Amino acid sequence: MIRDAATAPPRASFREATARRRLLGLLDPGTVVEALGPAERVTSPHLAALGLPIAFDDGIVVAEGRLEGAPVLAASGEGGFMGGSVGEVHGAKLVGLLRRARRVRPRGVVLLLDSGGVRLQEANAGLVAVSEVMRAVLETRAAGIPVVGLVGGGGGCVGGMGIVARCCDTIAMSEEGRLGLSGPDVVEATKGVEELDASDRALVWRTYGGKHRFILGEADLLVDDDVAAFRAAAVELLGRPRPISEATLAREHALLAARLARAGGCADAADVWRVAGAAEPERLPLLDAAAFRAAAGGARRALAAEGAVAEEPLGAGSAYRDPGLDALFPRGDTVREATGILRGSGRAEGGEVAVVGSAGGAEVGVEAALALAAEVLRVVREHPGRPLLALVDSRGQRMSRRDELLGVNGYLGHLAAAVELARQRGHRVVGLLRGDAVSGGVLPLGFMADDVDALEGANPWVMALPAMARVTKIPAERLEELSRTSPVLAPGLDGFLRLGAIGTVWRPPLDVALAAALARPREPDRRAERGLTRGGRLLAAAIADSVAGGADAR
Amino acid sequence: MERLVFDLESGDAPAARRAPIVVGVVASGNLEVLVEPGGRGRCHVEVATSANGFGEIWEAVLRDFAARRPVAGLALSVNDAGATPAVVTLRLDQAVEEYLGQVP
Repeated sequence: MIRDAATAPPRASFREATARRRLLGLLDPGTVVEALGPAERVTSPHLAALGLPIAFDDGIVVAEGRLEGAPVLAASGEGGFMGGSVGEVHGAKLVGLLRRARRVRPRGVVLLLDSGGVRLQEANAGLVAVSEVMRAVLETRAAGIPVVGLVGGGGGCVGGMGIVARCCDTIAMSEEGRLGLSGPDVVEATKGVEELDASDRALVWRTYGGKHRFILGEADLLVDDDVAAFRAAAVELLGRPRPISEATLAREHALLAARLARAGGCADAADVWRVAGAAEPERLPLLDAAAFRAAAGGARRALAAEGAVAEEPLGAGSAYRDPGLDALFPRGDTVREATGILRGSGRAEGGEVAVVGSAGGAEVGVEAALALAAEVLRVVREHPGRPLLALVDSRGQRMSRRDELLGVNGYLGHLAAAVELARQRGHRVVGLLRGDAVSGGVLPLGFMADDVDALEGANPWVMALPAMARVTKIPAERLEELSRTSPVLAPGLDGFLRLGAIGTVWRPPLDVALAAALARPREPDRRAERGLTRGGRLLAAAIADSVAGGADAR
Repeated sequence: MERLVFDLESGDAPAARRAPIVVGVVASGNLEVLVEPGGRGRCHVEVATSANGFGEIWEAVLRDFAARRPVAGLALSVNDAGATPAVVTLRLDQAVEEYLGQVP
């Protein structure tokens, strides 16, 4: 290698480093103390049961250390192991770290995110774990401790972890990093190569890459692919907290609404950049990070500027009637529906209850997420303390190139943050699964509730077994057989009940069940403990407690 | 998955106790090696590999490694996702260098 030693110190690529190297390079030398490190061998029993390789740390390093002298907690996911995916153990380590943060109150938490999302080999446990991580990140922010996300690993940051990233205060990304919700392979496999050609690398990076995310406002800093640059970014971002408050969420809402109004009609990232007023948008992919920041800063501001606002992207909708809603609110309701998204209120025994959610299997895309967040924020503003009922019947997030181009994970993260704000402001939040409850359709709303319950016949799932067989390369017959006994793999209500993800199944009369749910006292997230009691998740609770440093750290 | 266990003769590793370390990643064609203090006089190696039927090759690679390096008194644990012998050798050397290179 030829290098001018006088001008440039050697770079250490963040992308090429392992998760542990990244974390060691990020924090001050000699200060890192890992919790549940590899020698403790806290590994995934679910991978072992499938005869798949395990990793001694289940693909994530969680540690305490210092950053320029200040105490911080940090986690670093390994994108090379099972695509950085989140299973029971992996997720519980993250949840434990965030609970530890609320106990020891460090300067902040830094999450090095390198993950394809839910680990399909332990699908249900992975989905619940991602939802627990989302809640833990938001509760940590609500406690006044900033959480910074760093995205620059080889695995990208998509699936549920794409939402987790946008539950953080701020994000630093490299151009090489990728951030989104449905990864390119998933969009292509589901919608066809005409929708998104996952082998077109330029298209993939133009859509998911750091430069586009920076212009969108999805990433706060764009840095070089260099461990030292990420370290400097983490220091800077810890000084720019974005605590959960009505004001910060109103600003975020305005930014997301302006982006949708301005760029909602764009077909490609270059169109978005042009709409934002970038000079010579076709040149942007060629610039290095510093030149790019100089050239694109104006476009980033123009895209977010007020004035083009689509506050109500779904419109008011029309009156919604279904027998289930009548059973919940026999005293009457004013719920309206637009494209399967529900907003309004109903009269319960103890008074008016705000209703938000999905119906008829509606997929949640950018417009739906923004409309739901607007409604939650309106309830917080206009009806202090009014309980929220989040109804879920959704086959998941809308998978499309356009949604990814607009940063749909950011819209879902914003919706989750709005629910957290409501909770912090004393609104009781109850989630009720009434039909399908899948991935991005249930994570930011139903699974964000204080209590998540279900109706008989509700159907939470992650991926249909044939598709899961294709992705995991486990024969469909073997998956069928395993899913008969394993709550981690079986789609449907029973598995999620055993995992502790769902509290109870409501029986008629439903208005009485609703009143009882609203009357229950608010508790911290106890889904992992419930999973242990019910025998569906034997490890999560103890692992989170161990990393948190005590069972009562909430 | 196949589990293989070896107890190898080797020269004594430097005596001071050190903290366990791990190198490598369990990714396709790669492996992780965890090094910890072990029993005296031998090098204990446990391998979990996704590629079945390569026990003889593992034994040859590990014997060669134990002959080249003083690793008696260490315990090595390997999670392998189908790495080639060359990659395995590289990781084993890297692991021991990193383990012994720590300030005791």
